Amino acid sequence: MTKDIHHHPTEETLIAYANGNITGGYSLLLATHLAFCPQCRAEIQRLENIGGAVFAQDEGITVSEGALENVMSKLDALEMTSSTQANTSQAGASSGKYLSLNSPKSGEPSAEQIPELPLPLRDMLPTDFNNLQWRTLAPGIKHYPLPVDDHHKGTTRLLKIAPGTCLPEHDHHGSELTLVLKGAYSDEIGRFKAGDIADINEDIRHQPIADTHEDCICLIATDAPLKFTGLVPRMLQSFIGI
Amino acid sequence: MPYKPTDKRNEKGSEVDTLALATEKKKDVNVAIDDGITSEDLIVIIAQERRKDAFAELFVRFAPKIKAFMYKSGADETTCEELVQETMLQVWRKADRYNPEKAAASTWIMTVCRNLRIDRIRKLKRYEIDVNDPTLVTQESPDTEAIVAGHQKDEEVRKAMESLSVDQRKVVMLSFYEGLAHREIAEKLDIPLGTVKSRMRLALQKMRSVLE
Repeated sequence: MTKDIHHHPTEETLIAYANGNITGGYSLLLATHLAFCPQCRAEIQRLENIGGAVFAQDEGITVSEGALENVMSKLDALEMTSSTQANTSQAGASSGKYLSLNSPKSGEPSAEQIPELPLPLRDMLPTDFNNLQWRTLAPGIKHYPLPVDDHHKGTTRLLKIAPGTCLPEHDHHGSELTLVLKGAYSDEIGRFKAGDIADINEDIRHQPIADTHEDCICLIATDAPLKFTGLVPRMLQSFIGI
Repeated sequence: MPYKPTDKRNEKGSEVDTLALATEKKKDVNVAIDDGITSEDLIVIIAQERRKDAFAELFVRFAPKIKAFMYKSGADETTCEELVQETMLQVWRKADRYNPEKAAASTWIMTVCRNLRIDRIRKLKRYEIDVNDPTLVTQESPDTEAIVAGHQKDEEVRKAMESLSVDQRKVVMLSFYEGLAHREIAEKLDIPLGTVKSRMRLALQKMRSVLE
């Protein structure tokens, strides 16, 4: 699996995730990539080590008198409830739905597929990909908006692209992150397979095409609306608000 | 009433024995909490033995740093004090998720601070993986695994920081400590975004060459 990931987030994106500047849909998408990519997890760890060392180096500011006593009494209160909390959280974790991405009809080799979705994305989907209530955006293109807590104007959704379908050519007001979860697509930049991330900034115009025999399912997060360049796509955009 | 760690130490003797036996990394029961113990060990003791004297020691070491971190993030005095307590309570609650093989204590506590800054000061939501999620894809190659496991000690990173130029260090501090985006760093220092990127790239390259 790991060796199949060819496209990673840019260094700037990884730094922004490590220092806490990436939130909302972007953080959901990056967390999902990190679950698939030990290499990027190690990089995040290295970047956090730098943050930790800088944090440890600071001499700090004296805290108020009584702060320790205060926190110790809160600790006692916490102790009283901790056993019940532990039970609840364990129950929650074990009830997590097992979601298989493997389509039974798929003719693709299994190496291109991710066996399971990681948390927290897994918990955002009520069912597996086959049974999701996909909504049609355009011929061959369906989407499923995700309930992401996002204070930005951007959107986070799953996109399902039928084999051979071209997305309308578009460029970006802001930036866009795409993570392939199943299948593959190609565009001017390269070929993106399961686990690959496309970290696109505003300078790029691209036209992705799903290029395998199965649906290509992606997680897409934008921080500003996409700008489609053709007339028909632009009309489409005003209807669907993508 | 002043907090007296020694009073609590022997109360849970039998319980501690059971815990110590049940965990692979067996710790000496009733190990003395003093200046000589590492912060990494303190968190492990908190996780395994729920010892409040270990927590109090960790508080003394880190509370001022946490306050400085929150202050740099733009919080007022009252909020800073609240967030110091909140951070330390989270450290108590989440201590079992800390893995001393992967990160220094300061790094882990910094991530708790960072997440509280996002949640309480910036009022935003950050999504993270669950490190205990069995679906995480793990590394086949032991080489890369070793790099992750062999986390850098604060001292080594500090030395690496010293190898940076003043300009490079400034960019690293603003990014990793104050949590500014590249764009915000460019505005603050009144330099082009490209310069921020190149300084950061050079700084990280230099630190890597010192650290690895």
